[in-house]
Amino acid sequence: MNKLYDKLLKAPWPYWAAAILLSLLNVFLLMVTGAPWRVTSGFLYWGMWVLEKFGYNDFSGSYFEIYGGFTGGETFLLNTVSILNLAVILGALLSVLISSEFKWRRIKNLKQVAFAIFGGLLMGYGASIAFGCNIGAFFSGIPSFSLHGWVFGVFMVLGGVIGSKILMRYMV
Amino acid sequence: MTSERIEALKKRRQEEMKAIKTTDQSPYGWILLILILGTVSALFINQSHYMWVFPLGILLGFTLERSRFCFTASIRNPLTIGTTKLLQAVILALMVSTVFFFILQVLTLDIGNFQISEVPGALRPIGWNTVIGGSLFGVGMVIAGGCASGTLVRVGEGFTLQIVVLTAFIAGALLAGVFHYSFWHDSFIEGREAVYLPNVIGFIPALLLQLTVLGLLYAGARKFANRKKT
Repeated sequence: MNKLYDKLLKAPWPYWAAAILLSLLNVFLLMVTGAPWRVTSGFLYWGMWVLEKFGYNDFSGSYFEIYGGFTGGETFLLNTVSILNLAVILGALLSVLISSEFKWRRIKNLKQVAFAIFGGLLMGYGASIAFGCNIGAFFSGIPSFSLHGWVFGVFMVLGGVIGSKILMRYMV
Repeated sequence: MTSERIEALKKRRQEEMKAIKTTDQSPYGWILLILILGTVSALFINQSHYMWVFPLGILLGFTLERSRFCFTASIRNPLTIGTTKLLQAVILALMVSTVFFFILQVLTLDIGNFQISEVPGALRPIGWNTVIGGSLFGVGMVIAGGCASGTLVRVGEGFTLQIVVLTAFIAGALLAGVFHYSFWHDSFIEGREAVYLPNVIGFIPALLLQLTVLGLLYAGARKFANRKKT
């Protein structure tokens, strides 16, 4: 019993098991909410919440105005995608706590910060114009049989090749 | 040369992970779990929608962390250290999801008489925005050391750096999604409809084609790793 507990909750799960689980969870999400797993629009809405707090609220022509639209009671802070994002963070925290692997990991140097900011900006910009990130456009787009998922995937891989070159040259 | 250095870095990180396993943190985990269950029942029980979304998100995060599943590494590893295990897992996940999504779509739709907007899933048009956005995203995720979901997981694991990534991600999303969006929308998106594969070649052919392509990619990834080994 203890062995099973360790195996299930403490040892890393095999990739193939995670692959099947993630697929199942995604299809459940699609059944329950009518839309599959996505991440980026939640980040965008958090950002818009901050903008609003600073008094900016001219969102005409924004992604939100054209494609967003909340159902009853949803706000920029609390909506389906935001709750999902928050839950993913908490789920990961739960996992590291149960396996006793949690630790605050400090930033080591400024170079790391520069890469983090540059990479983050590129991801945010790219995902916002392309209807999604590695989840919304790729992981949910391809199984939806929407061709944009494949196009996004191909160019994400190409971008990844360029990124790896940059990384090998300047980082390692 | 560089791949050896990456391996060394990886090893060091694994040892760091081992070294901190000294104190038992699992009680905090169980407390967190009780808090989560409490939140679900207290806040969301009447909003049936959130009641499901929240636990599904928890399970997604838990699964990603426990398995060290990483979309970025799935693309980066074949190029840098020559391993394709993660890439194969991502392709496997796409195959499994393809089958599930297919079943759900066939059960939901009135075949032969439906609108694109009625198809359950993520269906979006294709344009230069997809090409440019996908490329920028690919470069960004490798440089930042984690994709959108990976960044969330790292934040949960306690990585301070990923809080910086997340903040920059939000800033980038705002720049494009609020301030530049009319440009992208007016130039490339407006008036286009998603290309839904079953509409183009039929339902069963679409399923078979997609599974075949993914299967070939899986086999290719496996071959690539074996070639690298020898």
